[in-house]
Amino acid sequence: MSQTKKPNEALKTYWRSIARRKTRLNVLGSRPEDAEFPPGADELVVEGGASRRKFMGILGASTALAGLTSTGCVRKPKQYIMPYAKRPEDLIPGAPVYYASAYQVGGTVMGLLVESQDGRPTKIEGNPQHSGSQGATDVFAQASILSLYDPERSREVRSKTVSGHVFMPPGQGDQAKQEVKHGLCERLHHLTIEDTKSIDAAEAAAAKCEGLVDDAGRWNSYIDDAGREVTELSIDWDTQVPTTWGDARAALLSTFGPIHEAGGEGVALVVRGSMSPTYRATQQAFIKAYPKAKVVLSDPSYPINTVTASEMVAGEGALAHYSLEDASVILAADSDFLGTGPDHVRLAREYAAKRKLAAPGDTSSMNRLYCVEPHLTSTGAQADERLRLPGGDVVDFLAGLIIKLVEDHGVVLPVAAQQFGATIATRGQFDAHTERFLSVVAEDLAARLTQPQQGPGRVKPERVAIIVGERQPPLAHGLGFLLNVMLQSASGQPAGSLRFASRFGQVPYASLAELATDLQEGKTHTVICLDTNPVYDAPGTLAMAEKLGMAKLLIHAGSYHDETGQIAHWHLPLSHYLESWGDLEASDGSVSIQQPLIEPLHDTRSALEILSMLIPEQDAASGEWALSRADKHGDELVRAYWNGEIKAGSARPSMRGKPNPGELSDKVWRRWLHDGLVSGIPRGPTMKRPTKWRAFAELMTQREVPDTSLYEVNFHLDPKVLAGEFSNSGWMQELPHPITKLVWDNAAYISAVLARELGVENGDNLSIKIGDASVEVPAWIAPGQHDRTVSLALGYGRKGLGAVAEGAGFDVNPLRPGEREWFVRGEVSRGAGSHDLVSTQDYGLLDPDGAEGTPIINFERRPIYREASVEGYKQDPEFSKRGDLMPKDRLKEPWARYNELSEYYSERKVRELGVPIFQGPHQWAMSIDLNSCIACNACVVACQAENNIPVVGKDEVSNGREMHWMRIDRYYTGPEDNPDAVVMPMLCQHCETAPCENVCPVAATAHSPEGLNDMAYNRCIGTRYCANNCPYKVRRFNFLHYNEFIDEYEQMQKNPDVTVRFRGVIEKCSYCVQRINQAKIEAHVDGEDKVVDGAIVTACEQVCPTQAIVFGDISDPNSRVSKLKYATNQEDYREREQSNRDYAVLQDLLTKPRTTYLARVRNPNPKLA
Amino acid sequence: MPAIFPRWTNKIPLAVGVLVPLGGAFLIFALWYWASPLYTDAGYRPKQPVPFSHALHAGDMGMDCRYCHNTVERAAHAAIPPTQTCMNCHSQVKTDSPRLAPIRTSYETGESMKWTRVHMLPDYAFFDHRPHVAAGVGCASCHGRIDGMVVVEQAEPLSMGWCLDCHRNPEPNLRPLDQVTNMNWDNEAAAASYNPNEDPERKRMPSPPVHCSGCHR
Repeated sequence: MSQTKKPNEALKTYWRSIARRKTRLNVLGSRPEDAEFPPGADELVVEGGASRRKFMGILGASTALAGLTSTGCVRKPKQYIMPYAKRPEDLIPGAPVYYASAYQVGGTVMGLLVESQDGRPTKIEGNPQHSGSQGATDVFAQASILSLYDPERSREVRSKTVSGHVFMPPGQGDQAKQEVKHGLCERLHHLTIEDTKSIDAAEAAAAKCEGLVDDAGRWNSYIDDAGREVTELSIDWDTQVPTTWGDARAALLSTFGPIHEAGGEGVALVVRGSMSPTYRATQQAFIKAYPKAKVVLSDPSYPINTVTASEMVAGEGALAHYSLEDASVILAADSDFLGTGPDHVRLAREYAAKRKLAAPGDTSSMNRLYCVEPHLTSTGAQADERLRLPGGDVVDFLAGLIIKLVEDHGVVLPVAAQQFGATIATRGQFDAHTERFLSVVAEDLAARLTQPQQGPGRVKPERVAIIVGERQPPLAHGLGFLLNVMLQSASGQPAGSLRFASRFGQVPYASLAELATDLQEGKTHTVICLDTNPVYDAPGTLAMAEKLGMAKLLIHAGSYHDETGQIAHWHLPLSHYLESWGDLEASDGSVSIQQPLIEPLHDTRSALEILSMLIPEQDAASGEWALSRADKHGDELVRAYWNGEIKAGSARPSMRGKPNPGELSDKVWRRWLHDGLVSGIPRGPTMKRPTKWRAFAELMTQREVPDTSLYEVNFHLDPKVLAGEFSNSGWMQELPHPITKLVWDNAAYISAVLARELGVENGDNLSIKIGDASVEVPAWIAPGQHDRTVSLALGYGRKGLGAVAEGAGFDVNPLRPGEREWFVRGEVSRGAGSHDLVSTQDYGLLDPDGAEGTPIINFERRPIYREASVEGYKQDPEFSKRGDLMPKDRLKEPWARYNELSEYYSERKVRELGVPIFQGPHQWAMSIDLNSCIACNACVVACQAENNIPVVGKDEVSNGREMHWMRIDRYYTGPEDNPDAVVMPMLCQHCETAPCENVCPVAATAHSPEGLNDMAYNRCIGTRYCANNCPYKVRRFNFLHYNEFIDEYEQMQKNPDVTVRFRGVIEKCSYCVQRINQAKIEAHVDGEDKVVDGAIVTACEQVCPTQAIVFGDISDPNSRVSKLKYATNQEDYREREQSNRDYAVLQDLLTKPRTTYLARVRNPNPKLA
Repeated sequence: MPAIFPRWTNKIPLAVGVLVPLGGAFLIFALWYWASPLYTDAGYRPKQPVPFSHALHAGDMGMDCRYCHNTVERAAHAAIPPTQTCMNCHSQVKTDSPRLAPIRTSYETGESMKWTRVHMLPDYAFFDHRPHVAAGVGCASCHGRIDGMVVVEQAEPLSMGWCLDCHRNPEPNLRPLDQVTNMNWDNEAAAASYNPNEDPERKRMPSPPVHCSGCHR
């Protein structure tokens, strides 16, 4: 027997959570928390404590009644078919159509292809031709489809101005007035009854209304086009009342007239950081029409610090654009560029492209990622070397790096930055560990820079990339830009890691702080919040709720009736991006037109359309300015803008040798919509250069010394709900956080050391006090957190938004000191009480560290996650095969001995033993590259969208019943106080000898001849033996009818090609069999026997930004998946040799899974070992 | 001791031993017969809002199935035609017929016609017409002689067992690819001698799935 050799790094211990590390073996009677499933996952746990016995009793009773109820005996229900009266040409009912659109989340723009089934969008994919997405999307784009169908979206205009009108023939003055007044007060009476269910309150309201009409009613009479006299009345009520767009228009018309005369004095428009050229141009038109108005930026997810720093260094309109294609060293300074940072999809693709290794020789081109951050993010989990540093110290880190590079390694500062360079200094000393890290990073960076010789045959320096996170102040970005320039990675020709692109349309934004001051002083009286929510997401120190309450007129336009909408005078419902026209420009300059996939579901308008409503036009004849009375449609606005651009560009001489188009033709417009990309616009040169360093010198000298006796509290965008955009999305709330695996809540992340200091455990409330503001947030012990920092996520603790967001998490915005300040020093102490935090980190435990089990069986650690360093990989390319508990040659199938007997006998025996027979023309399999998975969770939500996976809610998740078919397991490895994290996507492995298939009493799960483990939902009776037997714990059971009370709108998102499961059936990943069948049918109809490689992409594969998942046919030795899994290419896949990194999880159980993994190879710096 | 039970109770076990198996067998037979799709589904002939007669249109007039059900080769569903298809002819033919009034109303107002579905599969079974038509399974093989039906009725049970009978042995049900919509092909002379294996027009022999995920997704 061959010895199992351990890899040359000691077989690492992998553990999931601190609590479980402390579990001890318990042979007699395990504690509930040690159980393989949490209590409730395999048993019915009913609220109110019905025991198993009682349940059986109820079951017996209900069985007796089953035959009598309507669910027992009923004929097949009558179904109707209702075709179109006039079917649009080329529309095939039941066949999906794809339309190109685009989406912006934070600083990332992605081109999308949206699948539309029968006229409604159901799934979002990336546009392969768009640089921002390259065929993939991120988790936010995937979840945005559910937001479209959110039944709690705002559906109607609401206003505190109640108005009514009546049409009468002219000359009926008084009678008309009486009628209007009566009608108005009747309506308020009715609405009050609906709201309060009290007749007394309604009577009081009606009386109040009459009083108000007499005292302060605003009357307006005019003759309309049809010759009728219109009498209008409006009063200001104290609560919001549903009303119509017509009334809104009328109110706007009357209000904005005088405002225009005054040049917009006292008006503030509060907008998001949009990357839409048309929208920005409309904002510019707004400023032109109202020169004294302010445009305020209120958007926590917009990378305002990056933008500010880019403009400081390269001029107005510049935006930093990073490219990692050639970068061999990447330093992520508090940058979660793989998770929530700007351009994360494109950067993830470029990053992972340099980490695809087929042989040890490939490691020479591998990049190395250093990550410096206070809390563990997805980027930190991927990092080869990670340093924990408080966010506020990153500036010092970068300064120290520059100093080291200049002094120790002779790197030269650019001439323009000499003055800046002279001011660079660190405040105080770093500790030994950080000092060491700093010098090693400096050495590594300097080593990449070989001095180019003059003349022909110059050596090209290797590129590096210093990416600074968007939380860091502009000074840190400036230092980062300087580092890139110094290290010769910021040039234009050839393109370096850092470029500055110029954006369309600059708008001078004011800050929320300015707005707050103006409101306080009364300088601003009218505020229009377009798709912004300052009451919730503005920093607490500004007290925006109070200040906005002081405004005379507050107009809010939003998708939800959110916190700002609840106090506004006018609340206008906003269209979702899938219902509206727009355009988006990515950071590299590629523009896509955003086109709607469906008519607005409710009576909504897009932000672009609302803003255009406010911009007056000059009447050609009379020269009078007036707001237009008719709606301008989004597509007209977008088209008009691009028409203008083409005209303006055509005025310049043509640079392409072809004549400039004079205007935007229909043909070109259609092509843009078809491709998803705008092309053919004659534009001037757009590259800017980083040359202005002086402003940074001032910032450097003005820095304060922080109070290190206090803890650092830092705020970050949540990788699930961002800053509140997805708070009401069930998918996002239920999605386990990529690192902490928390669901339905946010927590204060603290390190184990700090937890011991404060005496808290998971879930105990912490009281965090910054200045005068104080908030209680439950603590969560997050390995990888810096000991003196507390990390808080934005986007939770919403009020009045919807049922999903209500009660989910805690609002930390009151603590925030400013829009640009994401770190602050504060007091942290043990608070009162505790909160039930639910995390899925211990679910589906595959027991990697052998703490479970008994001394008799299974005491060994199971090598579920296998990794090596580059050195280890070079020394032992087959490292991923080591560590199996049982060597391969000792593993035998139950029928192995029958192969030695006569052919006839062994064939019969093989059939008897139920050995799966693989005779299908394809043999499906999947390969997941652990080097590339960044735990972005896009695959998890994509699977949920594609396969109609329900949301179960916090209570059910705490019972272990979350329904995700695919999960990302996160393991920590290393010392408890400063571990590394590794992630592993886990889905149904489609084992060739699946343990789940043998134990189904009704054969609901069988094996297809093509290697798929099939699931027939209608046959399943809910024994759950298969879920019990599955060693990977990937089978999910519908304990309750989770899809029972789905709103009509939510039903529209469901994929019609996949069954919606009922209560009592098991479900699991099916390798997207609906897509497989679709592709096979199309191939067969074309007369082909086999599907081409690449025609079938599973949902998870399609959305993965790093292309970590590859699916295909291993019976074809030339398919992509065969090349990844196998080193040789015999026809029969069973004879091939596994490729060197390929391994299967738990392969010594001889399940023979078709999903295998490519082991991780890290690229650590040997000097930091 | 006195006898507790009267003497006739001695016959009870015998009666039970005979009647219970017989009763059980009858129950099983009853379910097998009366609860099978052949009894419950075949022959379903619902009333439709407009008395559209396939016997007239597809039979006497010889219209091809695909004129109206035109998506059968391009999509999973062979769609019921939109009202516009009816009006293609009926804007000129029988323009005043009272029985066509719902059609005209639908065309003018844009409201859909509410046809009652005849051939239904449960929601967990996904059927796609395209590979069947491409393989040369005739319309009549599954839908029966529609060209003889004044009101459409479900001719075959469409049960899983019935589907598998053909999936396990498709050849007897295949016909030349250009005869798929010819409802009368079975009775013609060519049918008896047709061998799908030797048909030069056929690009491939069908490989109908018999595994679960072939139809249950």
